[in-house]
Amino acid sequence: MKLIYLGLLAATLSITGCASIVSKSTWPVAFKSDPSGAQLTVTDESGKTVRQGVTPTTMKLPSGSGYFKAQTYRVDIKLDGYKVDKGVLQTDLNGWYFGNIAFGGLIGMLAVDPVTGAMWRLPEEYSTKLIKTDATAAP
Amino acid sequence: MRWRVYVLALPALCFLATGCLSPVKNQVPLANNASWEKSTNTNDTKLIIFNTSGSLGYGLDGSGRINVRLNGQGVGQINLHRYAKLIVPKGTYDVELVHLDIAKFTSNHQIELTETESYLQIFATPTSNAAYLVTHLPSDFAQKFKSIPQP
Repeated sequence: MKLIYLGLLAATLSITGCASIVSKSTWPVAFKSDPSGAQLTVTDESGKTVRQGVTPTTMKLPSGSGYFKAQTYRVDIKLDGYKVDKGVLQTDLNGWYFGNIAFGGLIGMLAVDPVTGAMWRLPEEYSTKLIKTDATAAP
Repeated sequence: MRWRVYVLALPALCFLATGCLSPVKNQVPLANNASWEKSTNTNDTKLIIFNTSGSLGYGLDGSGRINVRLNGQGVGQINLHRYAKLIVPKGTYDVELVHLDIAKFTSNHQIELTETESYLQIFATPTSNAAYLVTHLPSDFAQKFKSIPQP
């Protein structure tokens, strides 16, 4: 029996977090604006600019910001003649994280996936309709 | 054998302990559709506070319910995919958010309302709450979000 227990322990230790195996910790996000051609700035929670570009564009962004910490991004979109558009890109729990119940075990659940950020996921798309500076916002 | 009971019981207790946050009593008048449409005072802002806590992380166990206070006055409990509409004077406000997970997480945020319409996006995080003033509502807001009940 001891050999079986040792074998099981070794198997558990050799498996990394489920979300880290099946899923990922950096996600491509498609940024779109209507109209397109707007200047896009993505900043992280600390206020540091992490990505810049022109819409439409796709950027890869990490979903974690530390042990058990999900990242949240501020998204600013600017275009002449339109109000500055400010939004939030928010993470949610990655469904594959629950796979640690079957594979990965406590190591995947408490160490690998929380450290790599694979326990979080970002949305595939961020889109917004810009409002002209002389127009009022629609509710 | 006893440790196995503890290992199983502890997560179960943590799971069951969530979602028991008592709603904060409403003290700030909520706007209804009629007052929302009628409001034209330029010194006021029409404020929508909406909860976008993740469905998977905070929806299953009810831990995404957030108690909201504005300058110490209770607005109400806003569950995920719910919103509260208020008409308040423009200015600076202190927002207190509370959600209950494996512990009670309270956070305070200062916001400045300068526009005629303001949108405050709130959500629970693993160790706190977040509040961001944004310039637009989510594209699926009309389909996905519902108003909190009037007191």
